[in-house]
Amino acid sequence: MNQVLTQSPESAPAAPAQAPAQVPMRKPGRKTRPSVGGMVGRVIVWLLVAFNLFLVVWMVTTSLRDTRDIAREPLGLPLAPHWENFTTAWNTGGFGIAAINSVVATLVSSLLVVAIAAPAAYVLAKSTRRLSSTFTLLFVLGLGVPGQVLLVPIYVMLAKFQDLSHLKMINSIQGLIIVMVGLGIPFTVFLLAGFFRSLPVEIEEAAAIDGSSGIRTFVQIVLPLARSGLVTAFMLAVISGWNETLFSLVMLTTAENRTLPIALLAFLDQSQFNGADWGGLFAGIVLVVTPVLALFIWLGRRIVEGMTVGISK
Amino acid sequence: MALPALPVARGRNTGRPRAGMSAIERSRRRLYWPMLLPALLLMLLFYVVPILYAGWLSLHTWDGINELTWRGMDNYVQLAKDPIFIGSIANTLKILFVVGIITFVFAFALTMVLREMTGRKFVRSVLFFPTLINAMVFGIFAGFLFSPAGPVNKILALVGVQDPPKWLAQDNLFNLIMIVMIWSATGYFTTIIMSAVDQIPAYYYEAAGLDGAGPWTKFRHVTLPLAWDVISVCAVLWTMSSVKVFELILVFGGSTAQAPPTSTWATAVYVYQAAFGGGSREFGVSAAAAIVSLALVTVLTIGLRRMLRREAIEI
Amino acid sequence: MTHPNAWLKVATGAILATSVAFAASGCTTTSAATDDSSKSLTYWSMWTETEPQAAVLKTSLDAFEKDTGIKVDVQWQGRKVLEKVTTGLLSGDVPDLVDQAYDKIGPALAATNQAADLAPVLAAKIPGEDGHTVADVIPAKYFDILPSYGGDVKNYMVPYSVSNVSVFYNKANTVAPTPPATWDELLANCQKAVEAKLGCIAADGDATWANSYWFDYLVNRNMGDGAFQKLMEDKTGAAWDDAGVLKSAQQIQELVDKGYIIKGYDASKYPEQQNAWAANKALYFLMGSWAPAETAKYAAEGFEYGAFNFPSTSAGSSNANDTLLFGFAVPKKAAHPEEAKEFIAYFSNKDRMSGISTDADNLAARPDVEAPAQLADVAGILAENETRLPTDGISSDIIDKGFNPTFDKLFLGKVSAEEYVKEAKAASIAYWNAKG
Repeated sequence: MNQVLTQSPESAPAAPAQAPAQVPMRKPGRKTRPSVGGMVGRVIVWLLVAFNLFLVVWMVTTSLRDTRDIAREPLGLPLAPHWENFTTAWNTGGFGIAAINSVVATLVSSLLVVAIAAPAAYVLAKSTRRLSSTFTLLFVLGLGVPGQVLLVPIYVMLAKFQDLSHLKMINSIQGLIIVMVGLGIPFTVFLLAGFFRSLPVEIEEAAAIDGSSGIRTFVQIVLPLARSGLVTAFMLAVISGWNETLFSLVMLTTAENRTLPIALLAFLDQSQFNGADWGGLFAGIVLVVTPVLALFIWLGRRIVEGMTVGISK
Repeated sequence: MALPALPVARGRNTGRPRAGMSAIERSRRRLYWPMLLPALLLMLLFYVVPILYAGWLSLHTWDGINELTWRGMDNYVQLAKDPIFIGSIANTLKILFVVGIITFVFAFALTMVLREMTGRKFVRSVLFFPTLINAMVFGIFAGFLFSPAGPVNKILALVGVQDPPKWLAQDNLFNLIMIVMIWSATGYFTTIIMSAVDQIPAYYYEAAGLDGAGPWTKFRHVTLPLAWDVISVCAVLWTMSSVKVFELILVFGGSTAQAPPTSTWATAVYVYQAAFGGGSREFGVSAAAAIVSLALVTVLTIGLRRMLRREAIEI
Repeated sequence: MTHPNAWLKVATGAILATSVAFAASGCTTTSAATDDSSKSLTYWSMWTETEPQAAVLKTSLDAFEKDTGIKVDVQWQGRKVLEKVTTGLLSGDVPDLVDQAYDKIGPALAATNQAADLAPVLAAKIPGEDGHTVADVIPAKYFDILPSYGGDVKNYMVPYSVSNVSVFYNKANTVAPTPPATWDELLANCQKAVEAKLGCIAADGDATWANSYWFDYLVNRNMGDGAFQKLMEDKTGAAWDDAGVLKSAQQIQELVDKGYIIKGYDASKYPEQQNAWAANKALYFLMGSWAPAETAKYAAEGFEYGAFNFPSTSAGSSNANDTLLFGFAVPKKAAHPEEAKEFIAYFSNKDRMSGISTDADNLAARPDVEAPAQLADVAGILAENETRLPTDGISSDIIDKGFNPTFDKLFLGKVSAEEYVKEAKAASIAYWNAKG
């Protein structure tokens, strides 16, 4: 089974679009007539699919409706598109600046986490030292630590660091980026170590015989080979960064530093005392969901297969 | 077959140096620390030190402003006596076991159905997608969809259900939260399990078929044992993520800007509420609750791995 | 291996881009933010920028900036503003001025001795009102009822808006146009509503904080002022044995049993049923006086907001009303407390504060500011009766953990009054026991 899995990255440089685990075993069963149970299963599956698609459509249509209209009839099509929901959300609801913050924080932190994790994952995957397995274990254990354990300590540490360095950490996007990089390390190392481990050792050996130095081998040979793994790790970091809520909620205080999830929470809050603005709220939700949806439509197979191959190692 | 699922023990053998390959080995050794150190440092700063700090904090009383005072184990004693905390642990365990088991059953059923279905990739993608969305969004959706005059009840009324379940009643709130979790997690685990099942060579099934095995026997004796590694990794992953559930409950259970009803709290919510919610600011208690949840996830992970490993051998 | 150099470039590019991004945002240091040369004021608001209250405050903040030369930095934080202040206190990042309801400010700032004493503000002259001080125009009772939460500062908050918990109804309704004065009249009207196939009382099952107003008022009417506080703070639980508690619980059970609370209330999420009430599907709605503003978008045609004080249960019962105060506070660690105090006095000016009524449709803290039309009844209630705080000012942890979970069971009809009293007593004892 491991053999099967480890073949894949070899083919990656030759056919860049091809994701790993593209193993020619797609048709496990012969074409038999599905049983009654199978038919029922299929119906249920398609109902589920329909429900999920409905949610997306419903989210978009609701974001274009008038709040009073939504309250009267929660299911319905916009009579005329209320684009002002989006302008409200974008400008006054603070989603505009939050979207920019989210993009910056997510992209920068994802780049950094991959850049820092990749070399570490590589040496851990290839090293024969006994220490390495201790370190690997450390990273794996990090995977299981719930964010709530780290919340207060990290906050206090950042505050102390801010006092000493006068670099803004609390309530700043750069502070959030640092936290996201730090928190993302274990998963990214874990994921990439799996990819590196599956790389054929022969190519590196050939490079070494050619006199290539270790760092050159890594940059020129290993990284390109592991490209699909790196992209996957980056994508996953982007997704988890985009959705990060707990630390952002505690760290970011002012409106100009909010990220999208926090802007959404703030928007939810105002329905107390002044009434809910469902139209604006759904416009905000569309802003939160759409980028992930687009990314998924564009690179979905890579995300899905990369994520699962990384896990099944 | 019972390979350890996490890469811990496997780190060493793959890169075993071969005769005459000491050049590559030497350059690797030279690069070992420079390449490892940045990540290791971050690990230390963002995991090891904070955990130690949380442990230390959990032995004190602190409101975040005035001086720390030593409290010894009293924070833990207080937690043990607090029915709300016990309830939040129970909820976390419910998420872990109830949601986990149902999700896995669903994931396997879906895998079996999808195996022979047209459009499987499309279906898989659509079912996978919820995994990628911030759970808060589902909290908002559910409150809307399941409200008494909301879409779900309207549709039920069309089919003739006049007395729909009280979806958002407090007793059901946590159940509904669990249903949303099952729905959003099933796609993810289906995908993982599917990719593992896809790796099983078709001739195993053919051979089993020749021996007269039905679908259940094939599942029991081919699929399950061959995909066991992946299942045990999934179980560990689920354990870890179940302790982290936070946003969904925060938005789902709470009417605007209020704490969610205590009956829906899981450990993460308890930790947040003790520190930041409602002006209580008990950072010591919060840290103690956090440490308990860390201990919980550790014990559960180890226990689960033991259990799953043994079963794998039995098969 | 076809483009190793390209990959090298990508890697270098990535690192460069990262460092540029960091340099761009990375230059923000704490020292840049603190500019002591000019006067400034940082205000964290409980409102978000789209809300009318925010607009009212913004107008005054702009004028304040122009009149005094004090630069104002306002952050529209929203309702969780004090959670932000709490975390900010860990790092010393606190505003100069903050606002919220008393039951948020008190536990967060007063209880921890982190609130500045605002007594000087009370004596301060209000700009533009020859000689009047803040204490002259904002009733003393609003300061007197504030609990100290164990802190050493009495005047930690200056209210600019008040909200009164009253029973709202549609004056244009035909089922029961006369507001009840006694509990029995209320029940009679409820019966009429049920006969007219209407809900009598609107409530959202998950809004325990609002539903508990019923119990709070009943305890007050049956047992007198301060009784609820005694109930909450009695560590032995003996206070729960008072006959008045059982009576109050029975009165709630009657509402539940007779179907007087709107159908579906036990399965709804705020503000579902409150909007149903505004759509004329129920007669009464016990809520703070933000209710008209909150439901305006959902109100049925011709809806006429009216309100009455919570009915009395016996001839001699108290008729105090539950008042929530919203106002300003200044953290002790504020960098510019004087500017903050100056603004509080500035905003207490009648013309400025009247925006709360005219634009935000709420009651201003100054009684001489005319109430908005839909709150005229509430202004009357406030003027005529004694003022108390909901739950006698008890808030936070004990309510969330010790009171709400059992009260939900009673209100949602899962336990009888007798069972409730027993469970609530036990929960209260357990709470104090855990507190050690």
